[in-house]
Amino acid sequence: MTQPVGTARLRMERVILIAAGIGAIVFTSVLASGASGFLAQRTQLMPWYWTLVLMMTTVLPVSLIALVRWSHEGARWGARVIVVGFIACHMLWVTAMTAPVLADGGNPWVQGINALPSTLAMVAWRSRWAAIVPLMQGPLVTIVQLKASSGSTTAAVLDGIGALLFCSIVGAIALAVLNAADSQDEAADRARAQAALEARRRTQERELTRIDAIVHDDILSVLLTASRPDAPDTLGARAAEALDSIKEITDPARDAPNEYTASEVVALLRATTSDVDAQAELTYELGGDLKVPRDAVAALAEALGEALRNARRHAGLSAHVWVAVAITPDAAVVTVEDDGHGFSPRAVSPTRLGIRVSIIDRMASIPGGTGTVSSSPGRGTRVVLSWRRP
Amino acid sequence: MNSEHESVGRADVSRLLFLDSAPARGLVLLFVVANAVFVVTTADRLTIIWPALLAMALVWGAAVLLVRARPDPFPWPDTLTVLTAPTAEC
Repeated sequence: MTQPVGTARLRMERVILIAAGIGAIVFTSVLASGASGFLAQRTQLMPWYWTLVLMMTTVLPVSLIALVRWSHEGARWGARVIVVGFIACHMLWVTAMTAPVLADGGNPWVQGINALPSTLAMVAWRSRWAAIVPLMQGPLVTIVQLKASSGSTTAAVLDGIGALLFCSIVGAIALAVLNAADSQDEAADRARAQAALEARRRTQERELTRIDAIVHDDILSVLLTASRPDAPDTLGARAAEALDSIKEITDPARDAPNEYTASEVVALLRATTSDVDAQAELTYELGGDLKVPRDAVAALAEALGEALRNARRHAGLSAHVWVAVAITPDAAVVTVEDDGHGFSPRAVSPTRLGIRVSIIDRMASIPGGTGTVSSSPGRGTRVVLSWRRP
Repeated sequence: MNSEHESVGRADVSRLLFLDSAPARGLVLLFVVANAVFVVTTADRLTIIWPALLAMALVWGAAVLLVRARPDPFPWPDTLTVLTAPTAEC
C-alpha cells in the first residue's frame, strides 16, 4: 500500500475529474442512437452548434482524464470551461435548431448528460454557489424541452423534476466526498501537529535526562572529589571535562539545525526500538559515511516507533518483529517486518490515521523521505522507511 | 484535547459524508416529493394504483434509511433493504 503524496482533497478531485471523463464516454455511447440521440439530431441543428455541443459534452470531459495527470489546476479550469460551456449550449439549443421541433418526439440529447456539469461544478468551484448548477437543471430542462420538443407540458415538467433530482443527487455526492476529504485533511493536520508536539516533548525529556546525567556524573563527582583532603592528581583534568560539559549544555549553537553521522543514526534508531519494543530484533549495515539531517532522523525515529507500536498491537502475541537499518552513501533505509496476522490494506478504514499520518505522511513531510506499508492477511507486514539525499 | 478525541470516537461514515446535514435531509425531501409527483401525474395510465403507491413507499423508506446515522461499513440488513427496494418497485 503506497499512498500518493498530496492532500485527500486533491486525490478526491482527481478521482471525480477522471470519473467525469469516463462518464462522458459512457453517456455519449448511450446517447448516440434514437430520436433523442446526437446522431439523429445532427441534421436538426446548425453544424457549428452541433460540433460545439459535442466538444463540451464529450471531447473536453474525456480530455480531463489526461489533463488531470499533467496539471491539476489546468484540469480544474477545464472543468469550469465545460460547466459554463454546457449551460450556454443548453440555453442556446432552441436558437440553434433548424426545424421548429425535434423529429419523432425526440428531446434535446444534451439533456441526457446534464449530470456531468452538475458533478464537475463541485470540483470547479469551492463554493456553495456551485450548487446552482444542478438546481438550475430543473427549469432549464423544462423550458428548453417545451420549446424544442413536440411532447406534452406534463412530460416536460416531469423531465425537469427528474433532472433536478438526479443532478442534485450526483452533485451532492460529489460535494459530500470532497467535504469528507477536507475533514480527513484537517484531522491529518491535527494528528501531525500532535505528533510533532509529542516528539518535541520526548526530545526535551531526553535532553533533561542527559543534563541530569552530566550534572551527576561529571560535576557532582568532581565537586565531591575536590572536597576531600587527599584529592587525586587527575582532579584537574576531570574538572576541565566537567567545565566542557557545562559549556556544551549552555552553548546556544547546539540548538541549531545539525546532522547526524551514520553511527549516531543507528544509535538513535536502536534506542527507539528498545524503547517501544524491547523484543524486536535490530540489525544494521553501515555502507557509507552519510550525514543525515536532524529532521530526517526525527522522522525516521517517529515513523519507526509507530511501525513498531502497530506491529505489537496488531501482529499478534506470537509474532516476531525485525528491524533492519541500512546506511549507504546516499540513503538511510529502515525496514520493519513481522510475521504476524497481516492485514488487507484495502480493508483499512480511511478514518484510521495511524499508518497514514504517523508513517506515510510523516516520511513524506521531509525532503527525500518516503514511507510504504505492504501487507496481506496471514503473511505479515513490511514497513519501509527511507530517506535519500535530495 | 479530550473533546477532540471524543468527537473522533463518535465519528461514523454517515457523519463523514454529511448524511445528517440539513442539505442531505432536503435532498431526501426532494426525492420523496418528486416520486409522489411522478406517481400522481402518471396515475391515470394505471388500471391498478396500489402497486405504484407501494413501490413509492418502499423507495421512500430506502431513502430515509440511507440518511440515518449508520456504522461503517453500512450494515448488511440495511444494504439489502436499500438494494431490494428498487427491485421490488419493478
